[in-house]
Amino acid sequence: MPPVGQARGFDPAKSGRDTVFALRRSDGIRVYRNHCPHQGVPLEYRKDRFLSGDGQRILCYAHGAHFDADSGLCTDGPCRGMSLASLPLVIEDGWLYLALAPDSPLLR
Amino acid sequence: MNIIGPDALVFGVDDVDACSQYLTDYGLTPAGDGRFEALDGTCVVIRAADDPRLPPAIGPAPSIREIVYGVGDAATLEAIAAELSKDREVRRGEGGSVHADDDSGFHLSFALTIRRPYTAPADLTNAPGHPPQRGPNLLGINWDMKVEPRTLSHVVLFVPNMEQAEAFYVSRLGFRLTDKFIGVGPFLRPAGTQDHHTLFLIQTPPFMKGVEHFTFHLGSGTEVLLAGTQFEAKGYTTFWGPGRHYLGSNWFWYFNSPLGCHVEYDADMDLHDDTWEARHRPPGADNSQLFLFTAREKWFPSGPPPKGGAH
Repeated sequence: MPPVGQARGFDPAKSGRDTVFALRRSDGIRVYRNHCPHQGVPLEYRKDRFLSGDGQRILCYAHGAHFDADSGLCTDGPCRGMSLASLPLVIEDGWLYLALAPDSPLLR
Repeated sequence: MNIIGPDALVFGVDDVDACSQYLTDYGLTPAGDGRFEALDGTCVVIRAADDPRLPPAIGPAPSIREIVYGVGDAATLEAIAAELSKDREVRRGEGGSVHADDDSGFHLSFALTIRRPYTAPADLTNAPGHPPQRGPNLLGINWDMKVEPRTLSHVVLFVPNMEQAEAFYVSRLGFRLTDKFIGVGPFLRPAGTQDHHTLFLIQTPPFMKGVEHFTFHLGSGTEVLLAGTQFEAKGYTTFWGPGRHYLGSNWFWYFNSPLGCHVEYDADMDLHDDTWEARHRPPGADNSQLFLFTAREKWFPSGPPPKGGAH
């Protein structure tokens, strides 16, 4: 897992691109679907670059939506008031598991 | 008014290092003080969002702070200053430059153009039925091809009232309408260029106001494909493309960026003069592109070379 202030993309369903991303917050780990509620596009501008410069907000680098990193709520931009899909997760023996079926549409 | 087009776009950002790396990887040349130049000297300028030299921001950083238009002569600067002074605050700066806001609230400045003459090769084509452009033994592509952005082409703005925004550029600054997506926005060309558009406006809700994208012209469609492939290989995220637009005929490939807007590679745009009659087309997938591809990893039909050495 990345350190606090950084994020990392994953491709759990082997779709060919990172369909989810994880970030560490002070109270735990969040995993979000890499799917902006505005147009359904990937958020990052480059591999693993999902956060603002100070690492405190999630940004969609397609049309500049700003999201609260803890809740996924869009606070500014085209989809404000909407939220990133927060994915259920389980941490076991140092591994992070997504509590989703491999063919879940959330992983596409 | 002899306005040529955008000479510089100035952004206020929250991650100067990431933006500098991005623009360098895109192909622009760092010229110091946050300036990243194309072959003709047109540029993007990156500054920290709280830099006191910047005009006020429209939205949260990163965002556009100033659009600098190059003009062909001093008389144009005087004409712009006289025209805009009629109904808004106009500030004069160094070298006679003119500074004012447009009707949507974007901060504009106008200055004698910084574009310098340059020459760069064309992508020569051998088309049966037409005299060859590339003679015997001249190769079309090679491994060392270097793609350099040549000139700042256009900027696209999200505006809350596109009719009002269009009227400002057309009736106050002498831009021409080349084509229009009905209900979405106009493609506009200033008098000092024949390029299909240097400005495209898109109607959006007021809180989206900002830059949608900007692009530099490359030398050809081949260069768009090559530059985009190299940019993707560095890990950058495609937003749309590669493809070829219908209105303007330009090749395109759009990427996400840390500047708060998309950044495009563009090439081979149509030219128009004042005899052109604007097309009005409904917006949609068919009218916005002639074709669209998705990049994929390079592969080889018969797989990797056989083990145990070449045959």
